[in-house]
Formats: sequence, C-alpha cells, structure tokens
Amino acid sequence: MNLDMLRPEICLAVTAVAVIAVDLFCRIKWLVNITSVAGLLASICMALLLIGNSEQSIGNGLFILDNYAIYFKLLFLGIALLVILASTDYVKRLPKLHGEFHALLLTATLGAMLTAAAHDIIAMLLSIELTAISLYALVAMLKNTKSNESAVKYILLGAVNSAVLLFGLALIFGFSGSTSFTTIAAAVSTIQVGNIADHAGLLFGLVLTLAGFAFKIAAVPFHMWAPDVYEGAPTPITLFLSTVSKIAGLSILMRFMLTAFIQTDSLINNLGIILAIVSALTMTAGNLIAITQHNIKRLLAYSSIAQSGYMLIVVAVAAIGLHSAASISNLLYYLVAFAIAEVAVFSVIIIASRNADMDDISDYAGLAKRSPLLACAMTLGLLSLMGLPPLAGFMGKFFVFSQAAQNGLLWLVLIAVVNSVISAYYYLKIVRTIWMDAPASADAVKTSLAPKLALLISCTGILLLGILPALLNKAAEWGSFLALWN
Amino acid sequence: MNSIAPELIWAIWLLPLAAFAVIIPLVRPFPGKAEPASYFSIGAVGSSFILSCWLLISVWGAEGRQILVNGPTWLNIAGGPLFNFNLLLDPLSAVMLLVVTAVSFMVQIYSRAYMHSDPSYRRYFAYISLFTASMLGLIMSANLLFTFMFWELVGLSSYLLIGFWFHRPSAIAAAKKAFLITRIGDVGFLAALLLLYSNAGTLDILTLNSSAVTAVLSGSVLTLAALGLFLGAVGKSGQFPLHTWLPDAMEGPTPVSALIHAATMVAAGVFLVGRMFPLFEAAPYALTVVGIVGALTAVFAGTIGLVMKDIKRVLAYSTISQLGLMFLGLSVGGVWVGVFFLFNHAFFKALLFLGAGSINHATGTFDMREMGGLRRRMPWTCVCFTIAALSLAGIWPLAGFFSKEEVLAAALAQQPVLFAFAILTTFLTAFYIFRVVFMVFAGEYRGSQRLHESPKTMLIPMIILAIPAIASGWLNANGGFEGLFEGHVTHSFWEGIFGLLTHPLAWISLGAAGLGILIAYVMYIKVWIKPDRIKGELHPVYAIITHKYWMDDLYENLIAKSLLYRGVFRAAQWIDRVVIDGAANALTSITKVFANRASHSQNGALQLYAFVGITGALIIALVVLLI
Amino acid sequence: MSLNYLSIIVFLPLMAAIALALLPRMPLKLVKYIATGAASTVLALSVYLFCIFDRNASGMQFEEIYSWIPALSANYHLGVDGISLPLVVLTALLGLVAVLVSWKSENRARELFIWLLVLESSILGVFCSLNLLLFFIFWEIEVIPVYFLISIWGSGNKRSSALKYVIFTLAGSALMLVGIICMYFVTGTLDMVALEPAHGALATIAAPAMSTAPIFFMLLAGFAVKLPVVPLHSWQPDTYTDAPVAVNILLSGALAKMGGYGIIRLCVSLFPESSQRFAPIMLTLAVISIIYGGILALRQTNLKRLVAYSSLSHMGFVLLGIFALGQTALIGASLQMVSHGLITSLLFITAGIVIDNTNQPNMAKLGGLARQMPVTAAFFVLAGLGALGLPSTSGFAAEFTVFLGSFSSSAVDGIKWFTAVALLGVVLAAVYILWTIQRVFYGPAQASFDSVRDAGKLQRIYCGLLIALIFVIGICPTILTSVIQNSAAVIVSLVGG
Repeated sequence: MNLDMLRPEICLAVTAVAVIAVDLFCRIKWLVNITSVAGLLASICMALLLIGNSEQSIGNGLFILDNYAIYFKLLFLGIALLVILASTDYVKRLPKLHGEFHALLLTATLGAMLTAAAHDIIAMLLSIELTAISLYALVAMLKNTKSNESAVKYILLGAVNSAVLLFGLALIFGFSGSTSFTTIAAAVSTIQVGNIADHAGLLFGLVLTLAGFAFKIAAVPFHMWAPDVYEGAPTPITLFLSTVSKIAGLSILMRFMLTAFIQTDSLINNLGIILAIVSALTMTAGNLIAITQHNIKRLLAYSSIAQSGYMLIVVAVAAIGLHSAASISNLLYYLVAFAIAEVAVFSVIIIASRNADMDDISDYAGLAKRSPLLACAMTLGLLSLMGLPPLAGFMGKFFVFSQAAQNGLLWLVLIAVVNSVISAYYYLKIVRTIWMDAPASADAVKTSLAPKLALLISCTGILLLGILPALLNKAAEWGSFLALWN
Repeated sequence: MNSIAPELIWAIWLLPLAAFAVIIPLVRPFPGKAEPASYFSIGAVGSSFILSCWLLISVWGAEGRQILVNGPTWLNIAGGPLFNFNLLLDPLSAVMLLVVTAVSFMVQIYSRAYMHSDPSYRRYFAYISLFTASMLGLIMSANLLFTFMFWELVGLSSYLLIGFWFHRPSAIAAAKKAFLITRIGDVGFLAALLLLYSNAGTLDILTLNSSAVTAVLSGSVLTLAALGLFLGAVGKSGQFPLHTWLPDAMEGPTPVSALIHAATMVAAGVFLVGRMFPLFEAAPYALTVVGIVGALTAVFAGTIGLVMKDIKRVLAYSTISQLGLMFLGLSVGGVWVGVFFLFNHAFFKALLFLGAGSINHATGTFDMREMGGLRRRMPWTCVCFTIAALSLAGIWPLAGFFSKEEVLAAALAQQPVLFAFAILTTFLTAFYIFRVVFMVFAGEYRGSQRLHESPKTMLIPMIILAIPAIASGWLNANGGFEGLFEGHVTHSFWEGIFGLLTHPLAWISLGAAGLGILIAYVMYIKVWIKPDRIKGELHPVYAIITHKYWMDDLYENLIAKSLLYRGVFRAAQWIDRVVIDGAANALTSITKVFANRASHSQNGALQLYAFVGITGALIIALVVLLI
Repeated sequence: MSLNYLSIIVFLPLMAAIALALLPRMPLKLVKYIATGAASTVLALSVYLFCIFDRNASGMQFEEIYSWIPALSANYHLGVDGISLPLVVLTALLGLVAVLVSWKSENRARELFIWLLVLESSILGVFCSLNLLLFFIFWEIEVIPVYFLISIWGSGNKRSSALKYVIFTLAGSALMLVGIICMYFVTGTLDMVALEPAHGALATIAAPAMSTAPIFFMLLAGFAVKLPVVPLHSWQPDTYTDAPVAVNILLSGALAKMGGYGIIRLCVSLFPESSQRFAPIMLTLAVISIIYGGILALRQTNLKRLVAYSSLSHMGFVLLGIFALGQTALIGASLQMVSHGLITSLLFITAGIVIDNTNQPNMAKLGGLARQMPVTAAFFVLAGLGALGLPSTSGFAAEFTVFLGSFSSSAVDGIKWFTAVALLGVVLAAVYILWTIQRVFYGPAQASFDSVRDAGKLQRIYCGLLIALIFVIGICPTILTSVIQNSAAVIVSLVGG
C-alpha cells in the first residue's frame, strides 16, 4: 500500500482539516482562503512531481496512477483553485459557514481526483459518493428557499442514482466474480453476439452503471435535475458542479468503457450508436430549452448540458472506434477548453452577485460600461462556449468533430454543427445585453485582486488555447495513455 | 496638299474631349464669367471641323480611299481577347466627321446667344463637347467594341442634355425615357457583339466585313448579328418600335435638339448600318428587314407629323420619318444613297430646328396656334426656315430633291412596294412642313408677345447652314458623291443640275411634293377646306393619329406601369417578402415552438425527474439486450 | 520570403485594434490618427505588393509557412496569387475609406474604430490564408465585429437584422466547417495548395465525382450565403439597410467578395469535375440573382435598401463569370468583384450622406437635391453610371469581360442562353439607377431641404479617390487583368475551360 503515490490526495485532506481548524480558532476570515489556496498549490506541485514515474497500481489494484489519472488530477486541482480564487468576495455572503465551504469544496475535489484514478468498482463507488455527499451540503449553503429546494432535489435524485449505480455494479460483480476492472474486462470479452442471452445480467449491470454515470454528466434522460440544482446552488458551487463533478463522471465513464468493455465489437458497436443518439438528444435538448430562458444561471445550466452532449460524441466515437488514443486526447482537450470557458463566465456572475443575487440576464445590462474587464471576460467565455474560431472552444470542437467524421458519425457532426448555430442565438442574447443595453446603475462593480486573477487566467487560457492549440495538444496526447492491463 | 498626320487625326477626337475636361471642373458655381467656357468648346469643335475637311481630302487622295491608324490596347488577355483602339478613316467616316463637326460648330455658335441668360451655361458647353467627342469617337473607331463604347457615351450625353434643366420633372422623365429605350437597343447591339466575337474571334470592323463577304460567318449567325446591330440602330435612330423617346427628347434646349436629335446622334444608327454594310448585305433577309422597318416608320411618323400642334414635335416626327427614308435608301440603294440623304438632311433639319429656336426666342412658345404672321417681324428667320422647308419637301433646285431622287430611283429599281411608301412619305413630308410654314409665317399673329428678329449671333449660323441646305445636293449632280464612295459612277443620265428634269421620275416626286404644298396652302392660307371639318369627318382616323397610335400609352402605362411595375415586379417583391423571408422566419419560429414545448416539460416535479431517468435507463437496457 | 509582408498586412490592423483597446484613456483625436495610420500603412504595403507582384508567374507569391498545429498537420500558410491580391488591395482601400467615413462619429468612437480594424484584419486574413483551417478561422472571426458594429451604431431595427446576419452567416459557415472536416479526413491535408488537383491530393484518393459532390455543395453553401445568391439572400437587405455606412462599405465591398473568392479558390479549383457537373444549376441561380435583384431594386423606396438589392444583382454577374468556367469569364468575375467593391461603396457613401444630412431615408419624400447638394449628386450620378455599366467605367469593363468570356466559353453547354438572359440585367440596372437619380436628385428643389449641408471636405477626398479608381480601371483594365490572367488560366485549365 505505497501511499506516497497518493501524496496529492493526502495533502488535500490535510488542507481540508487545516481549513476547519483555522476557521475555528482565528478571527481573520481571509486566512481560511490563504490556507486552502496554499494547500491546493502544494497538492498541484506534488501531482506534477508524480508525472515522471511509470504506471503503478495503488492498494493492489484499488487505484491506478497513470498519465490519464494525473492529467485529470491536475485539471481538477486547477479548476478548484480558480473556483476558490473567484469566490473570495462571494464567500462573505455565508459568514458563519466560511470554513465549511472551503473544506467541503476540498473534499469534493479530493473525491473527484480519486474517481479519476479508480480502477476498482468499490474504489470508484467510494470516490463518487465522497464527491456527491460533499456537494449535497455545499448546494444547501445559501440557506434561502431556492437553495434548500434544489439541495433536497439533488440529494433525493442523487440517492436514486447511487442506488441505480450500486445495483448495476453489484450485477457486474455478481456475473464477473471480481471487482477489478481487468477481470471484469476478461468476463465481458466472452460475450459474443450469439450468446447475449446468457450474459443478460452482466449487460444489464453495464447499462445501469452507464445510467449512473449519465446522471453525473447530466445526459438527456438523466438531465432533469441539473437546471434546478444549478439555479438554486450558490454560484461557485454551480460552477464546481458543471465542471469538476461532470468531468469526474466523464473520466470514470471513459475509463470504464475503455478498460472494462474493450471486447465484442458488435456489442460495443450498437452501444456506441446508443451513446451517439443520447449525445445528439442531449445537445439538442440543452440548446433548444436554453433559448427560452431568461435566468442566466438556468440558461448556463442548459448550455452546460448541451456541452456535455458534445463531449458524449467523443465517448460514442471511442465506443465505436475502440480505444484509439486520438479520440481520448480530443476529449481531454475539449474538457480543458470547456472548463476554462465555464470558469470565465461563472466567475463574472460570482463577482457580480457578491452582495445580491444577479440572476436575471437583464441585471447584466450595460455591464460593458460599468466594468469592461468583466464584460470582456464574460463575452470571451460565451463565445468560446459557442465555438467561435479564435477561441479554445472552436479548436476543441474542431478536433472532436473531425474525429467523429473520421469514424463515420457524419450525421452526428451535422447535428452538432446545427446545434452550435442554435446556441449562437442565446449566447449572443447575453452578449447583446452586456454590450448594447443601457446600464441600470452607473457604479462600477468592485472586484478584489483574487477574482481578477481568476478571470485573467481563464481569459488568457481561452485565447492562448484558441490561437496556439499545439501546447495543450501534446499534453492531451500524453494524458491519453490509460493503463489498460496489468 | 499632303495627307493629314496621324496625330492630327487623333486631335479631331481629342480636342472636344480636352474642351470637356477643361470646362467640367469649372462647372460648379465658379467665380468669374461663364463666357470663356464657350470659347474652349467652340474653338475645339472649329479646329476639328477644319481637320475633318483636311482629312476628307486626304482620304480621297489615299490609296484605296482608306486610312488606318493604330492606337493603344484597351484589354489584352494572354490567350484571350485583344482589343486595340485603332482608327479607320474611309469616305463614310470622313463625310460623317464633316457633318458632325460642321453642324456642331454652327449649333455651338448659335447656343452662345440662345443659352446666354442660363445660369448653368458652362455645364451646357461641357456636355455639348462631351457629346461631340463621343460622336467623333464613334465614327472613327475601327473596332466594333469601341463603337459600342462611344455609342453608349453618346447615349449618356443625350441623357444629360435632354435633362439639362433638371428642375423640370418633364425634362428628366424624358431624359430617363430616352436613355432606357436606347439602352434596350444597345442590348441588341451588345448581343450582336458577343455573337460576332464568339464566332469570328475578333471585333475588328474590316476583318468582320471581309469575313462576312468570304462567308467565314454565315447563315443564321450572320442574320442574328445583323438584326442585333439593326436593333441598336433602331433604338438610337428612333425607328418604329423604339421611337417614342425622340418626340419627348424635345424637352431639352432647342440647339441640343438641332444637333443631337436632328443631325448627328440619330444618324448614328444609319452610320452603323452603313459601316457594317457588307455584313448586312451577306446576311440573308437583313436588308429587307431594314427596308421594311424604314418604310413603315417613314409613313407612320409622317402621318403623326400632320396633327402635331407643337412645332418641335412636328420636326421630331419629321426626323423619324426622314430617317426611315434613309434606312430605306440604304437597303435598296447601298451605302452612298443612305449617307448622301443623311448628309443633306443633317443641314436643312438642323436649320429647321434653329429656326424653331429663334421663333421660340421671339414668341416664347412652341405652340403653333399662338404664332402666325411672323414674316413681317422676322424676315431672316422666315427666309431660312422656308428654304429649309423647301429642301425638306424635295423641291427641285434644293439639296433635299437630289438625295430624295436617288432614294426613289433606287427604290423603283429594286423594290417597287418600298417606292410607293417613299412617294407617299414625300407627299406627307411636303404637306406637314408647309402646314408649319403657313401656320407660323402666314396670316395674322395670334400671340401676345412683342415680336422681334433674333440677334445676329443666332441668325448668322442659320444663314451659313442655309447655304448647304440649298447647295449640298449639287455635290452629286454628276455623280461626285457616288464617285467618292464607290469609285465609279453607275448612272450617267443624271448629268448636271438640270439633267434630272429630263427624267419622268423627277416629275412624279415633284408632283407629289407640289400636291402636298397645294393642300397645305388650301387648308391653311385660303382655308377653303377648314381643318376642323376634316377633323370632324375623319374623326376616328384623326383620333388615332393624335394619340400617336397609342404607342406612348402602350409602352408607358400598359407595359411599364401596370404590367411590369404593378404586376410582375410586385409579385417578385411579394415572393421575396413572404416566401424567402417567410421561410427564414419560419425556421426560427419552429425552433422557438420546440424550445417552448421542451422547456415546459421541466416543471420542477421531483417524481417526474426520477421517472424519466429510470425509464430512460430501462429503455437503453432493453435496446442493448434485445438487438 | 525576406520580410513576411502578408503577416504584417493581416495582423497590423489587429495590433492597432488591441492597442486602442488596452489604452482606454486615449484622446479621441489620437485614436483616430492611430486607426487611420494603421489602415493607410496596410494600404501602402498592399499597393507595394501589387507593384512588385510578378505578373508572369502563376503560382502563389509572398508565401509564408510556419508549423502551427502538428496534430492536424495544419501549418500557418499565407500566400497571394493573381485572384486574391487585387481583393487584398481592395479590402485595404475600403478599410481606410471605412475609417475615414466614421471620422466624425462621436458615439463610442473608440470601440467603433476597434471593431472596424478587427473586421478589416479578418477579411485580409481570409484572402491571404492558404490553409483551410486558418481560412475558416478568419472567415468566422468577422461575425462578431459585424454583429457589434451593426447593433450598436446601426439604425432602424438594427438589433434584429444584426442577429439575422449572424445566424445566417454561422449557419452557412457551419456547413462549410463540415465540408472542410470531410475534406480533411478524405485527403489528410488542410493545405489548399496541396489540395489542388494539379498537385493530385484530391484526385489520388480516387474520389469519384459523386462522393465529392456533397463536400462541394457544403462548401458552396457557406459561400452562397455570403455572396449572396438568391435563395439565401434574405439577410442582405435588412443588414445593409440598418448597418452604418462604414460597415456597409466593408460588408458589401469586401465581405461579399469573400464568398466569390471562396467559390473560386475552394469550390472551382479543388472540385473541377463537380463544378463542371453542377455549373448549369449555379448559372441558373446566377441569372436569377441578376434579374431578381434588379426587379426588387426597382420596387424599393428606401435608398440604402435599393443599393443593397443592386449589390445582389451585381454579385449575380460574379457567379455567372465563375461558373462559365472560361478564362476570360473568370478574369471578368474577379474584375467585377473589384469594380463592384468600389462602385457599391461609393453608392453607400453618397446614400449615407443624403440620408444623414436630410435624415430622410424614404426616396418618396426626397427630391430636387441636386440644387442643394450638387457635389453629392454628382458623386451619386457617377457611381450610378458605374453601376449601370457605362463604358469608360470599371462596371462596363467587368461586365463586358464577363459577358464575352461566358458567351464564348466552351466548358458549359447552353451557356449562351444564360448570358443572353443576363443581358437583361443591364437594362434593369439602368432603369432603377436612373429612376433613383430622378426621384432623389432631380425635379423641383424642395424648400424643406434648403438648409441641408453638402458633402464635407474629407468626404469629397475619398469619394473623389473612388471615382478616379472607377474610371482608371474602366479606361485601362489591363492594370488588373495582367495580374489576374495567369492565376485564372491555372484554375480554368483544370476544368478544361
């Protein structure tokens, strides 16, 4: 049980405890922020140090440390850092729960990091539940009716989903005899087109597990919870939900698909088709409903659902094209581009609603006149989500679409392209209100240094990845090496 | 007398263009006297006139009676078309140059007095110089493309000059009408150009004509090209289908009508047919079409001329009718017959218009019912006008008689039917022109103005023009004109000025003309047959003619307004608004409908969410297991 | 390759825009000088390139290649040839004119100049880029500046027409993106020069005409929206009417040409056999655009909307020239693109002056302005003469070359009938131009417009410049045709034109 492989996770756990301690004992509130930021930075450094060594399994097969896992760890830590930086002013709105907010946020990130590294059913379940439960508490932190309602919904639906996931995993364990992905893969490989009937149990278990992950990613049949929860939750948590929690779900779905279910092309093939259909439905539903929204958080919720639709294209391609390394690297690239754009957009909302909630689009009228930096960041983020060329979003989409077209999913690419045109309508609706309407109040939006830093990082990220994608391209290719067998 | 240097040939065209270029920047309300503008313009056209005379002599002396001058390339695409603006000077263009420069010179001197009090004096002379330059360019160019280019520039300057007093709505409407109708003709010209280029590979006039003769171009291509060119000529010379613009073009200042709508521009059509005559000759049916259209227009316009009240409208219809005769002459007698008629007609028709201008200068109106008895107050104008009228009617010693005889002789020899039309036109011409003379100069003055003779600067050009009106016919008394063109004289029995009298045909045409004058005399001087009674008896015929055979209304109201503008175009606009814009908006509204229905499904009920989730999972499971 | 001019030309306006954006507290005068400085240096550079362009070579010149995205083997590849160089010079010129036109605007002037420079940079980028991805990126960048320019500084229901423009353009370019992606995975390369059949990239994959047809049409859709071609043009009248004059110049002058350039560069030269098979369809659309645009221009009462429809009709000539697939026709089409750029910009400027000074866009209420605004009237009449294709103007040179080339091109059968019908467009043009001049400028002077100002000194300078260019190209078109002809020959040789 060589724990030094889990150094980043341990460091994060220690920081969480430290944050609660600091919150308990000293009056100065911003010290809490400092400790959590320091902890995150330390954990990032440790994760970077891990890059060198070769793939190793931790806790004899429970977790695995490969490039794929490290890439996601760095991604989660980065996003968490940006969230905390962006919400330094926002946190003042929850005076008593200052420490708990940070602690729970760190534990949720810890859970996500472990999910990405899980190589065993039980480890996977544990880390998923860890993230979920920390988020249940975080969603309810605002203590107003909307926040409570969405928290209750999230908890109940989360519980249902955990039940479904557990039932699926139990079936898989039952039929394959072991909890480690590798042995499951061996059991699954025996399924041929002919003898599907006698492997029904295993397949049913597989489908239920996929449904469990789909809930996390908010894919269409399971997306119902997302808009209400995103709208009710405090904005930093909405950002966290739509980025870290979704990416964690995707990371484990990819690993599960590519390690546990590598055989039986025919079986995987029609599963790929189903995934493609789900992705198409998710995209279209997300974009269509977003048109009619006028609450900005709800609109961004649907846009986030639509974005997960685009991500699912890669999963479908991976299922059909079967573990071609390129498909995973495109997903990794797209995730980073998506995450940065979401951070840019949501941090502007976080900064804007530092004292009162600014949820309606019309509240952002004339933001350009009040504070140009916020307006530019929001516009860049939205245009990147829309997929406009010079920005990261377009590059991500181009890689994903060209990959999908190569594997015969041209019809899905056409639907995706049409969807991005529909999405242009509501993204520009916000951009229009920011730049062209007359501002309600003339005073500038006060922002302290940390949120500005978060904005600057995300904006430069969007522009840089859009103009010179080569940098992240290499990293994504490096990150796409999964430990398939051991 | 050595032959003219190429640079000087270029100068003929460049001088008026230079005058235009000098005057146009000074057009805006520029301080200083307006007078010098006319000096540039008149000086330029005068020197062009002298150079043209010199050119005529040197063309006569040049071998093959033809001078070719190479010029700059306009368009040169490797492996594609190559167009050089070369000049071709032969008897046809030399004569036309002489006519244009002479008439333009006279008219510009005349306009100095006529336009004296006009505020935009400089703009007038700028446009006149532009017109003269483009007309000269049209005549001299050796490539059909540049003929077309100057052809359209001539159309532009006629648009600018007709609409010179642009504050008058009627003038501008007339200018627009003139440009558009000639433009329809130009489309035919352009189509012919394209046809010729795609088949012959070049637009050079000489090669085209020779290739037509040597049957390189043949059959239907040649006919189509010839008819296309003729459509352009019909548009520009105001022949039957496209003639409605010429009477309205009288809205422009009278010297403009004299220069453009009597002598030069309208003759461009005749020049074009003359220039491409070998092509017309080789093309089957082309010349017959030319002849028929010419004859029809001659009679048609002649009848309308009878009933017009406005003096300039009568002269306008007379021009259309005489042009008809020119085309008839071309089709039966060959190039020199048509051009000889054109040569004479230019002078006396210009004189008639200048006369009308000086009458207007005195009486302030063009309506003949408010004139009468002007002979006492305006003796010089009366003399000049009557000389021109006699020449137009084709009375013996004057120019009109000789050219009309050539046309009649050729028509009698070739197509007797056309000859009948020609004789009828001679009668009608004599009748309407002398109706004008008697209504204007005979009887008592019915107007209220204090009559006075026009100033000298207006009279002198008229008197100078009266000379060729009388004498220009004598050039061909013993075949001189024909010799210039054909190089040999065909019929020898027209010897001398008096020689014609020995031929019965002369007496037939003189008789027809005399009859016309007699009837005019009877109706308007002696008033034995009162014009109103004739109007009563022949009421239906009279009504048709006064409405100009309803051609104007047919074009403007029926075709342009109700059929096209309110019909087809409004339908196109409806399609654009409803069908195309509608389709685009429908697309967006469909997405909105779907969006609303989808968003209502999100009603916040927890059970629904869980239900949808679970059923979704079960459906996927079923699909995976069963398929 | 000594000094990479093209990168400077493409990115100089962008750099100026970024500089203006990052220094907010700059006095307005300095902002204007920087903007004009940037635009005029770009113009000077492009004219210099035009002069030193080697008229005999037919391939790409001033090429620059740097590796950009190794993953897609896409490299940053700029280059210009006979077809794109005139358009680059035209865009640089119109960019400068657009900046000068908005010299007097006060309302958020700094942002106006920023967006104009970004727009100019993106258009120049499209004309210079030889890599499909780079081409697409520059193609889509122009959507946002135009959206902002129209919805902030426009008039009428500017917001909805701006959005309509964006949705139409994005829809078109979305299809184009799919086309580019398909070409990428069929041939494996994104480089336009490598893709040309002469170099065999497309042909070697034994792509039968049938399978490249969908790609051909997808690419064509994007360009047809931009040109515009009749069925996809419903965005054009609203956008042109509600856009400010500076944007009109760049929109109709340069952006429309991106559509034409795209068709030549991508559709015709990369898919010779498809373009030959589908030429009749496109020719019918071209002729419909010419006649339809002319008819609708006649029916308009708003001055700018009329110029918009006349622009639709003129771009029909470009399409006719391109799909006649003959060398002279292609030269005519490029000539028409340049000449139309100059003529429509001048029409929009003068229309803008009339509407701004009398603030009355409806022609029915205008009249007799020649007396009060003689200079503007003169400019509008001269531009109108260019529009109706009067000889000695560039309009005639271009239209005549298109007619000549298409009538005598042997590549497409039945071409003669298309050209014959297109000839009617010339008459329609004369009708609506002269009728507009009559309704707006001639007729009795109206007292209500007595206090109306005429064109200012700056306006006369750039209008005069445009007029001079129109007549210089008209009188001696060999300036342009000598540059275009070799590249046109290369493109057409593939189609056997």
